[in-house]
Amino acid sequence: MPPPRLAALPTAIILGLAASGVVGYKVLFAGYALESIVPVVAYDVRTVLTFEGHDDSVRVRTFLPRVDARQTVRQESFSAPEMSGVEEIEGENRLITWSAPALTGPHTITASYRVSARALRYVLPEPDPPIPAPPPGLVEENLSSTETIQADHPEIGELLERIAPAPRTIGRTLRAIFDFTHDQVESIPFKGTTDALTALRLSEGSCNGKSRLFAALARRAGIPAKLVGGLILAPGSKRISHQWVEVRVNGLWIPFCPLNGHFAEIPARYMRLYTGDEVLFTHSANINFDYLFNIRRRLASRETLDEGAGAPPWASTRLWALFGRIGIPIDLLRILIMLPLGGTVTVIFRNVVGLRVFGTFLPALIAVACRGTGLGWGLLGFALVLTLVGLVRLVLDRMNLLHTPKLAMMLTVVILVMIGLSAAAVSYGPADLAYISLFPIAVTTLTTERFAITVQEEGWREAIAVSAQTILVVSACYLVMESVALQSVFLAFPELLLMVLAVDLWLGRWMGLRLTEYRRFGKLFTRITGGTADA
Amino acid sequence: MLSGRRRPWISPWRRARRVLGINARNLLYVHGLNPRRHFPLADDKIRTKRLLSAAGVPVPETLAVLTNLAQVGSARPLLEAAAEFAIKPARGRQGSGILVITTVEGGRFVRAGGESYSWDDLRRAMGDILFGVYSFGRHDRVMVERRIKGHEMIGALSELGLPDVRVILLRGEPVMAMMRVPTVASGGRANLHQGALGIAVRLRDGLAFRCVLKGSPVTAHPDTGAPVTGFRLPYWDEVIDVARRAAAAVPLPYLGVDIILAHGSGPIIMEVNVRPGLEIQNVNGRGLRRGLERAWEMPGSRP
Repeated sequence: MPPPRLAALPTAIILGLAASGVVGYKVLFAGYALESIVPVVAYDVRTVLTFEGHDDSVRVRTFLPRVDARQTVRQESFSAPEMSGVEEIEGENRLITWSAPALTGPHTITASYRVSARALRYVLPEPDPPIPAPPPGLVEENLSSTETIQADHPEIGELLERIAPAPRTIGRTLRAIFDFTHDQVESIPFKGTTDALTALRLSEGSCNGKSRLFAALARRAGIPAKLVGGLILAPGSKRISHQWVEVRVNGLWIPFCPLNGHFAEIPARYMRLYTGDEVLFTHSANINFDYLFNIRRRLASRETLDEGAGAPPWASTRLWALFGRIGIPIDLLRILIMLPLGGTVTVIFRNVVGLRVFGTFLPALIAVACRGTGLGWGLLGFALVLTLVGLVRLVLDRMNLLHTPKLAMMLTVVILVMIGLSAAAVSYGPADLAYISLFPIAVTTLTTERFAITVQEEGWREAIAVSAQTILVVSACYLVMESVALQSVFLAFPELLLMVLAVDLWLGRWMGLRLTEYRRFGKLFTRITGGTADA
Repeated sequence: MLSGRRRPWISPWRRARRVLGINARNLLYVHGLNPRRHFPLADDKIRTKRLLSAAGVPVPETLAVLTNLAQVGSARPLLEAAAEFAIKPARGRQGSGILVITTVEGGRFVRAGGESYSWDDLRRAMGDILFGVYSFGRHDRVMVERRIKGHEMIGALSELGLPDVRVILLRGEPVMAMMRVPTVASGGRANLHQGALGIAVRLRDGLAFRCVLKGSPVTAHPDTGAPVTGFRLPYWDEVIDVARRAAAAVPLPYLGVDIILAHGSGPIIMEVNVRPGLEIQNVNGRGLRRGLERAWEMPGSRP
């Protein structure tokens, strides 16, 4: 057989070795922290506020999460048509106020951000010290009795004496208060506000009633305590926010949640919005105000969360930060880095498995396009576009048109169908499908053209068969390219793309039968029937 | 027809290694041997024909090459005079766009199937070819050829369309051959995937020894009942000779040559193919690889 022109296999091996060499160097000698590539859970939180204006001035005020040692907040964006929003810092809290001099009719404000937070657990001092005298000034407001946290009330004093008799130590007292508020006060899903005394008298309370009772008892005992408000991050839509307590021990604010039973600890899914006995939303009267939290869970690589701040020069985070400076979003880089993998997946399905797909790398590109909609809706929307435009193309064919004008017309029809689908999805259907409009138009048009050619040359059966195989490969590409694990690894070690090159090179010299050919030629592997040349 | 004598048992694994897959075909032969710049010689029938007739290889007589609508418009007298002709796209694939006219009656052109075309219909069909309907939208040319009739010996197999003989050659050495016979299912085309019969032909003497329809062995034509195995093809030595000469004329070492066993004359080359299909292996009940390796090592083979 003719010799290959260039030694492909050694080249592949060299590329592979180079890639593993660089990765190995980074990990072993450059001290590249492996934990920095482990994906983290992040939540996309969308707060939707709706109200009706009656040609009056309207004000809506709420809290925004702050970045602290425990939680990070990114990709914040707001939409408040016809209103102006002002952000301000007030004490420990970050507030935003939207206002307009005169508004009429229904309005919607949305605030979106991506949050990821860590779980924290505190260890109370050992041995258990007595409760120190309150330091003057600084935390006084966290020791006082208020209208809703009635620390001075005799019933609170009696209760404290009963559950934690003097002399009191910090740990024992907090444990007693926690046990009482967590176990003895019945949890009820009550949406309104309950003060400490009411929670005690009714012996029932929701998060805020229990937390106020906790704070009142702690303050009575001389331990500074304050309320904290926020959101429990669980995927889905809800109207319920959450409140818990923080008490000050040895100069640290330590979290307690008497509703969900977290003693001196806070889970990762607690997002902090404000500190103090506050109301999450304040707004003008009589505007029929309503709100909804929409939360989506997603895995994100740490690289994209930290964006290379203060990273050492050899870290790829530096590279991403560099691109960020010239306005290239990390998401685009992620797509670029993962696209070669999609290409390799397509090659494997075409040349090793032997599936027939539309176009060469169309499946990988379609998989990229499905990011906005999610795989299911993406494929469904794509199939819809394909079918509708395919039918149009068959009609155009009857008109006997030149190729390029026909393609231009199909492009137009693709756009019309996509706009129509998006509009329909926003109004009636799954909102995710609306993102079909983000599909790359050219990719969609080309696929439709291939589909129509296949229908013409080989009939509907074959065209549908090839479509099904294309969808299979698209799904495989999607799973690989959207895998957070692979994304993290490739973002951390972009040099692994050399490894991808090596695999492609090896596949490029691979001459084995395709899996589908084992079926096609299967009869040749066993005893041949029907005559032979030797007969 | 069952095999007459026992053959040594060969493991399925070894048999599998004798089958040529698409990857190996493309890597070793189609792209490994055939220079890309010569592909158009095989892909454009007009160029192929010019090359072959220059080398003295018999090809169908060209009545006209029409390159624009004006030429198509003024071709009527020529076509009416010819009466028996075929129009083809120069760069069509797998026989698409080919129209065979057998007679002209009262100004109407009658197809092989009996269907008749007005001049306007025919002109539109030729316009489609020019517009690239059969060649991926690229501008194409219309080739008008005199109709070829099949040899009387294969008459029973020619009722639904003209059969052809495909010979695969490597460096001028024939490797495997088959005859493709149109059926009702294949719509008169000699296309195996559309349901044409594939008849394996022994290279040594032209014996039709095996027939396959959509992958399964058969012994009779599904439409006419005509026997499809156990006969010898006419003037087989000439067929092989013509195939060799065609291969020698084209600078493509790995080739599929399609030959018509014509009535009156000898074998005629219809076209050559740079990417001959692999279904010939299922028809012959045997993989191509051993034959290809043998042809490669043949002392007489062209370097």
